[in-house]
Amino acid sequence: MVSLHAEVVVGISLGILIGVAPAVGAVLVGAAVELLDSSVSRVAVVVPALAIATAAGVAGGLVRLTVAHVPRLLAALAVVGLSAAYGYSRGVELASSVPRDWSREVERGRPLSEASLEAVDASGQVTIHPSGEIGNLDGYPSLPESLRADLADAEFRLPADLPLDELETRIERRLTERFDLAAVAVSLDPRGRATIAAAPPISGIARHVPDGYSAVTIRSFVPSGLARGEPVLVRADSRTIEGIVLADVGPTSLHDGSLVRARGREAADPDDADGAPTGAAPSPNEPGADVVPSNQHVANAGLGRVTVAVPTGSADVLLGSNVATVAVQSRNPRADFRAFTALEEANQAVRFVVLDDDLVESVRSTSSGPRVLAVRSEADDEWQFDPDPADLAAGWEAVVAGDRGTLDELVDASVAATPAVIEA
Amino acid sequence: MSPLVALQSVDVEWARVAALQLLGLGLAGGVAATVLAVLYRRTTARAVPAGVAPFIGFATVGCWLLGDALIRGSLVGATGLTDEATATYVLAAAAVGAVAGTGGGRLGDRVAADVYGIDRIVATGVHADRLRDARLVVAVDLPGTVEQADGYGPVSPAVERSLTDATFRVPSSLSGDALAARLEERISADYDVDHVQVILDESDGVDAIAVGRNRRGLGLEIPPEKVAIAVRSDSAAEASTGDPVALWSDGAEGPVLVARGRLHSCSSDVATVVVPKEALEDVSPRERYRLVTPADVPTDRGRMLALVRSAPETTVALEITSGGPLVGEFAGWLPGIVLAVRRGDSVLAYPADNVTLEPGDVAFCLGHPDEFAAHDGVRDVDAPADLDRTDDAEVDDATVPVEATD
Repeated sequence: MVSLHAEVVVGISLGILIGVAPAVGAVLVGAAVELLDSSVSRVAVVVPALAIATAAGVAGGLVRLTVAHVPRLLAALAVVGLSAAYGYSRGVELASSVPRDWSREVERGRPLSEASLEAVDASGQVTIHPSGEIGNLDGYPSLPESLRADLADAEFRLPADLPLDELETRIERRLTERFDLAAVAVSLDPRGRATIAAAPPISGIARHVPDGYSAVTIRSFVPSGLARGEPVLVRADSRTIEGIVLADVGPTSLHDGSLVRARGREAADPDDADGAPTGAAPSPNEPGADVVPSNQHVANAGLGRVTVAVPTGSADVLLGSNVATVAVQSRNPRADFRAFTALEEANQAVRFVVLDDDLVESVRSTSSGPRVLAVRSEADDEWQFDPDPADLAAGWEAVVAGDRGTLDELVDASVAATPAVIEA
Repeated sequence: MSPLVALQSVDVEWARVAALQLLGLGLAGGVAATVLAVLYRRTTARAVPAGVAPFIGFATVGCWLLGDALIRGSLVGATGLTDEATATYVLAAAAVGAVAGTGGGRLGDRVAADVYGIDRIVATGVHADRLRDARLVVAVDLPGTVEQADGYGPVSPAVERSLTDATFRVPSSLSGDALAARLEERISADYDVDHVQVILDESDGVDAIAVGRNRRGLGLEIPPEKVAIAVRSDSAAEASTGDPVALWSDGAEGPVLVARGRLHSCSSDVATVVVPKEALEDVSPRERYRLVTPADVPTDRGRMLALVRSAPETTVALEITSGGPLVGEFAGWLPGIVLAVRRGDSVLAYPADNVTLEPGDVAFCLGHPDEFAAHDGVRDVDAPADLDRTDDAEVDDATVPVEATD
């Protein structure tokens, strides 16, 4: 009488013999499934494997479907089934890293090393800091101290799944964009430390100065939101001169986070109480961009410095005075803006309200009273412009226009009566 | 019979043959795993996944045994396949294969990493996987023309030059939407643009890109005939953007009203206010002004502008020129809602239908573009018409006459 133990051992061994082929087949099926981007349930792989193995075993005389062979059969099938399932999942995993698109030429890259893993955050971005001295580039002028300090303070947040070469390229791009550098070279070590060498901007302000103009840096309070290139009026010593702002004071100034962040640096230049303005074009080593603080971001903005291009003949007026007033003119030709600001000049207002009976009455009754410019019924998504007063109904949203005082009384009365949520 | 008992019953010769065969099988399994590990590193720059190497060793051995069994009908000597001794041999062979596979896999992996210059990353986890993604990159070329995105202003010429025909390298595992998203993220993070859209073709090459920048500048927010200036002031703590303000200075005989305007923004000691152009002469940077905020009635101008811009309706500004078709016509004849007529320094709000249009007037009408297109007077008028215009005048680099020479 053959012991159970022996039968099981024989069963396992038979399982190995007849199960290997289906297992290898399962690996190939798994790889194929993954490469074709589809998915197959594991059962669909295991069951055929079992069937094939059983058929093979019976045909080869290794197993007979008798009660006596049941332990052997079960052991064998267990081995076959397990190895088929395992093979399938290994096949899928193997194929998942294989490049799919052979038409695209794949290049090798060198990634950051394991040591840099600590700097990788939850969203897969790595933070890179400059290390060591910011160097000068051969053949170029050396960096002014302020620019060197700015570069040393920079930090960069980049995806961790890029090779070192590409990370260097992106950092160079960001620095060039932010600081207008003439040239920059970044070298990244696998730990994620960047060595930067750079050259300051060529000619800074001077190339932006139009013919017949000169750039003058003046001291004045800077209207917040002023942007490079805006035409302004400069008033100094009772004369008003037209000019163009050269130094950028807007959203790409130092303290906006998008391109290059400054680590914990304080914002504006301190307010100094004296000093004449700098005249003519600043030297090539002094980039214009860091001249002006952006007081829209800074709580303690005092007198700032603005570099403007003015007709050369008028430049002496600005040179002679200590401080000036910079005034920004309107340059919004959009008709709707002009229309509604004109209405405001005439003491008119527009309000968004929900109509009630009183309002509808006053709109219908007087031709010189409030008028409805647009209306939207509860069911509609679209606004109807210039509706017929006869069509108005309470409960509809409306844009009411009219004299400020009258509108105020009417609207606030109705708002107080029916607290409704108004949505555009 | 237990295997041990079975073993004792076979002779030494059998055992010797079995041992030699096991050695050979082990070698075969090891070599197969080594080869696979090397090929895998070569293709994917990664190590074979865990468990694959022993499985390969095991499978190699198994296939060999199967082949042997089919050809000869027995594995060691003449012992039958269902004999316990054979079964023990098979189990031992499988174990040897798995162990040899593990060893061979490791060997192959290290050799390949050395030969192909790959720095092994041992850590596991999502972040380590991201680092590995960097080993295989593809170059993506940007097209030769960069379009300007609808509804945005142009980007600087330097940015446009840099993006044209640029080549970006991205992990090869990215494709389709993920690839487009990565390119967009890169362009918006590395360049001074406010909007970017990348369109890919079927083979994941870049078909088109469009970039744009928001209009910038204070001038865009200032009504005509007014200017924005910054003055030293005590900020009214409660004052907010849009509040009317009156600027008072301390004169020799008491406070003097200098100008009236609206507050644009303020910080602790500087306020940016929008005042009439003439007030420029009365304001001095050496003075400190007090801001007084009178009562005001709110207006939903911003919301109205947003509504008009999002609706198909549009606003047009019609300049009435002498000799033009609109001179002498009634305001009521104009299409749409006549919001206002600016005549010289004054504004006629919602003019009555019988108001006659004079040369030099500017009439603002709000209506549907179809109405305007169909109306003879509007269609023929040579106005700086904003019928289809969505752009503001662009200041930036373009208006500075001297080209930047990079």
